[in-house]
Amino acid sequence: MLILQRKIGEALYIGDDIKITIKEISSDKVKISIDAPRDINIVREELLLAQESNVEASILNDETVKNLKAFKSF
Amino acid sequence: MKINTKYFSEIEYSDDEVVFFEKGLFGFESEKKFIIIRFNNDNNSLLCLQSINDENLAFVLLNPYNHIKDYSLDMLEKEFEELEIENDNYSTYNICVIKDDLMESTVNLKCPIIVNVETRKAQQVIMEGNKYPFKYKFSQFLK
Repeated sequence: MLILQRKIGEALYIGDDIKITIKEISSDKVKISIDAPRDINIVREELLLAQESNVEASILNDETVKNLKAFKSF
Repeated sequence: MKINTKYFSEIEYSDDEVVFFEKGLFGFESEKKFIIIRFNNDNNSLLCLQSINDENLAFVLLNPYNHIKDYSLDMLEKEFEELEIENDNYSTYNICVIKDDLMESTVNLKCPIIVNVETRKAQQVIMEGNKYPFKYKFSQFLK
C-alpha cells in the first residue's frame, strides 16, 4: 500500500486520467475532489459494505427459519 | 391481496400494510414495496421484511429498542425531513444476518430502516461515525 502526504490544494493522479485534489482539512474530516472519466465508478466504502451486508442478510436456510418461527425472545 | 412469501407461504395483506422504500434497500435498489410480518406472536423483537415484488426476497428485522435502549438516530436530520418524521411517528428496524446458532447472528446497527408509521414511507440509511457497527452480535445483547 502506498501512503503519501498532501497539503491543501495539492493533488495526485491515479493512472493518466484520475485526479484527486485535497480541498479542505479539519480535525477529523478531509474534503477531496475527484476528476475521473464517467465510466469510473466512485462509491463511498460504507455504501459497498451496506450493500454487501444486505445481500448476506437476504440468504437464510430453511432450518434457521424454523428456529426463528419457534423463537420467543432473547 | 395475496402474495407468496419466502418464509410463510401464501399470505393476505392490505394496501395499508405496505411499506414503501422510494430508494429501495442498499443492494436492492429496485425493490420498493415490502410488508412486515411477525415470525410468531410471542416475539416482537424479530420480524420479517418481505418484498412484494419478489417472493424470494425477505429479510429478518430486529426492533433495536428492545435490546439497545439508547440506540441513537440523532444524526439523521436530512433523512428525517425526507420522511416527514415528527415526534414519534416513526419506527426503527435493523436488518439481521441470521446464523444457524441464533446467538451468533448479527444485526446491522450502522444502517437502520426508518419507517414513517403514518405515511408508511421508509428509508434505509447509513449513519455517520464509528458509534455503531455493521455487525453487532446477538450474544452481546445478553451481556
